[in-house]
Amino acid sequence: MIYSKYVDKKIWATDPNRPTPAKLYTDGVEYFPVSRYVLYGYQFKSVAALGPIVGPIVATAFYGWLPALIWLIVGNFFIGWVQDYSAMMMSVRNEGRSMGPIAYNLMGDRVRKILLVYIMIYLIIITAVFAWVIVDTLNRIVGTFIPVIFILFMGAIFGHLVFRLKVDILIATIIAIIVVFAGIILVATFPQIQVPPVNFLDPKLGTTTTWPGSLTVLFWLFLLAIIYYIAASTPMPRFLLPTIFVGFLPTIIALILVIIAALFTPLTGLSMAQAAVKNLWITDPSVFQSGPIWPILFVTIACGAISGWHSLISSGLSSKQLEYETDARPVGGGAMITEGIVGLSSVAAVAILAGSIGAATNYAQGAGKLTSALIGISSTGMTLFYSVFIVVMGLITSMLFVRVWRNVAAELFEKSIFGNKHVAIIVMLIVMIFLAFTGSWTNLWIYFGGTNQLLAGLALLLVAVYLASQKRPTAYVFIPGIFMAITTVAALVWETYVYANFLFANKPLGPQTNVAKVFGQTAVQISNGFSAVLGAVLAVLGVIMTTYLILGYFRYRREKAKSA
Amino acid sequence: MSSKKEARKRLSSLIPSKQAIKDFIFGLSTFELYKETIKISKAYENLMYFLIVGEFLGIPFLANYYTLRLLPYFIGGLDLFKKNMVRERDIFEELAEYDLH
Repeated sequence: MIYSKYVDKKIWATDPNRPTPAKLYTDGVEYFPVSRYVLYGYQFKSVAALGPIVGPIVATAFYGWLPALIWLIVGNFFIGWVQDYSAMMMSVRNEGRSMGPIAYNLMGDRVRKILLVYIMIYLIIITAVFAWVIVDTLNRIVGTFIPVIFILFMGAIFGHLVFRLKVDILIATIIAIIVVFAGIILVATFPQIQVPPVNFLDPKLGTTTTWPGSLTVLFWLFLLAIIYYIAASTPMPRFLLPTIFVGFLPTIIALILVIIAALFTPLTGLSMAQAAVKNLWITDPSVFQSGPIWPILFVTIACGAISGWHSLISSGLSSKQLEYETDARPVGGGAMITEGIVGLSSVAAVAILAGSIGAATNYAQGAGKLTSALIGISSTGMTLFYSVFIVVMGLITSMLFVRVWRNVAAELFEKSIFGNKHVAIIVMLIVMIFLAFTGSWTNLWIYFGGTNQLLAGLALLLVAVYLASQKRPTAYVFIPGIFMAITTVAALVWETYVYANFLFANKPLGPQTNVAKVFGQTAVQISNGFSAVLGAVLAVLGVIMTTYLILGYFRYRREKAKSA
Repeated sequence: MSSKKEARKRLSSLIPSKQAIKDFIFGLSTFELYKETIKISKAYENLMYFLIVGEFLGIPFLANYYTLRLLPYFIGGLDLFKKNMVRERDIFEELAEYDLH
């Protein structure tokens, strides 16, 4: 509180009487002022997706719950909210413009173009990672599929009801809530309809693990690809927009419930069953999961501690509706602190489970156990509810990834065939299927964390450049920015080294053994080679971007010194 | 006594009002749909404006009888339409609109 007040008053010198872009450029569509409470809810909804849930699970599996807890708190309090708030303020002081145009103004077109390429790679990686999370959950928690179908159909029907038949939104929402929960209750009540069974196309693989390279995984991936294709190529109001709305209804309830349940653990009597600290310094690349705590922990938990994507949301979205400059602190900073609580509840959900953890299904089990102890509904029913929550959250965001990819491709490859929407979507879906089908998702997760965190470092450095150009103090963003940039490049280099190590040793990486068995070692080699090149490209792009920003920062500092 | 009153006042300022909770829930659940719907309706409105003033811009729609009949009803929003049309747009703004992480 004291730190945020200091930054708000002394560095940005916010003034409630200074007109914001929402008031200056009111058009009722993009620029219009709204209450800070509405904006806080909206910002929180926009920043809290699957990221703050999956990252803490993986980190707890790698290093124990204590390092995850410490990084979530320290990262959030000293870097995370700083980035969200500062990006929002930078945008407010630049006519509500987003990071891209501001980077263009301050640094030129090359920086903006590199940032776009970076985002394209980010989108591919995260779609592949989420595809694996969804497939694993659908496969291992039987019965999840039917409620998800209910939600997808309800999304399409909701769109028809609201946009075509002009049904009152409240009535349509009530119908949607009833149908969505009917699907979950139906499957929880009648175990006979909990289909399909685990690894239903590969009965020889047992029922405990989802194996990359298996027919079951391929089936689910193709199904996802069809859903993504429909969502990305049809007009927004027909399917995607109403599905997002309908899908978020149960997820909001799930999120609030798990936070309350985590806070009430002293009353419900649940305690930590996982080790507090373990395997802090693994430097052997053949232990393909995990790695040295620095830098890996800092990219494994991205959202919840600090996330680069928030800088885009804060700068291009909420800043256009901010009523007063002084609202930026509760909206930008406050929503980030709340997301940190989501991350902490995720740590709590998996830390109460005994045995091996590290998959999103563990979150469903842990959250099911936590909330079941609080509200008295059976643990199995709540686990099903949380597995539906994971799948729906992943599906909604992934449908958006593919849609946004199509638009970025149109911008970057305007005159080539890759700018065509169908070609762009199909290319992305092929890469997604390939990576999810042959890879190890925890390693790809580190790539995702790396790209996301590097975006955060770049956003912080861009704010430093802006503040330097305005002759304001910069240390509070420059130091965290440099820390994040160095840490994430180091993490990307480490992960590239892991993939390259398996590539040159001609070995499958953990779960890839099944891929090698079914499709041969060549398929594994292609996958590891592709991943190693991807990591190297990301690291090089990161270094180039960081160098540009640091040079820009010192250029503005020199100008400041001269003018003084 | 006064310090007690002050403490009570401070405590009550920490508890959000009914309106604040309503606003928060609206922001959390419906604001995105609301914004997107407005944006879609605005896009159709812009198209309508384009049809009406297109001829003045040199685009031959060949429906000038109707456009001239409709013009008085649309003249009031012409300024906002112009602003909307000439506003610089960037792909990064679209990226920010969605929750992609």
